Amino acid sequence: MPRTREELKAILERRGEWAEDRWSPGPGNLYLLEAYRHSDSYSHGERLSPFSTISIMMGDYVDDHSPLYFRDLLRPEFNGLFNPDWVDLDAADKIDPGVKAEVEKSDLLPDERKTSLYHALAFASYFLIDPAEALAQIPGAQIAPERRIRTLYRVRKAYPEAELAWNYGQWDIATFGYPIFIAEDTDPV
Amino acid sequence: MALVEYLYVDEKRLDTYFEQISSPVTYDKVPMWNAEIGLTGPKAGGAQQRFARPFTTHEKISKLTEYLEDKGHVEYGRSSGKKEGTTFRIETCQAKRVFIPQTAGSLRMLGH
Repeated sequence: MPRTREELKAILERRGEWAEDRWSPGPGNLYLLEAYRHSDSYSHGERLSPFSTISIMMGDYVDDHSPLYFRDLLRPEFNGLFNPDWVDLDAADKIDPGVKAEVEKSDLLPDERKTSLYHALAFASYFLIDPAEALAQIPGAQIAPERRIRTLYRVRKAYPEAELAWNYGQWDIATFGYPIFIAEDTDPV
Repeated sequence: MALVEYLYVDEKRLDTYFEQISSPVTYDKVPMWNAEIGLTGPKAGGAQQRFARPFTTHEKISKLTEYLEDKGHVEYGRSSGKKEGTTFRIETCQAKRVFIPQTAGSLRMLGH
């Protein structure tokens, strides 16, 4: 469910300030995963399932809802998960939530690793706000035009996007589903 | 009835569910007419024959949806996340489809 320009603008302008009228989570993005034949957990040389992949991009790695995404990225098993070349930093910088400052404060990291992490965070920040546009930065990715759909799906999982709430004050539930069918919705709105 | 424009169907998943609620074939009833002329005059008759065929994809989707609705296993719209909802949901929304090639360099690590 792509957010409208107005919604994106409102989220960015809050810069982490909690929206006063949001005392209950709103319907966030729905991720319909057409491919699902990989493991949810990472092991060397194996592909991760799209569910895990998107969870990582959102800063929530399979039932581990850390409020600080950059700490997740410090885990050795995440090395190389993000390719800095994917990131359009100009675009990502426009919506950076300030977590970069947190990284810079960290004296645990060598500069080289810090730079890599910096790019990963920029990508992740971008993804949190506008997943489709962030994914469009990946070489070879194709984004179809927005359209109205009707779908029957099995719910894989639904949980609040912790990073989105933490950094942008936007309390939304992310829903992951496996679609059985997706059809163009032809009914008048 | 408006024709449905399917953009994506997970045939494997659909079949897995469908085989739990229905036999894999349906029967079309076809009337067969015959006429003949005999010594006693012309005769006409009719019979109905049943021809077995597999369900079409659209039929499977319709039947599965109907089953889920009848049994209360499906809800409409987005889950509020406040309670454990049903496993299946039917939703209408704005969407963008993103295709990421498997061979996109380091994407192997991301697994899509």
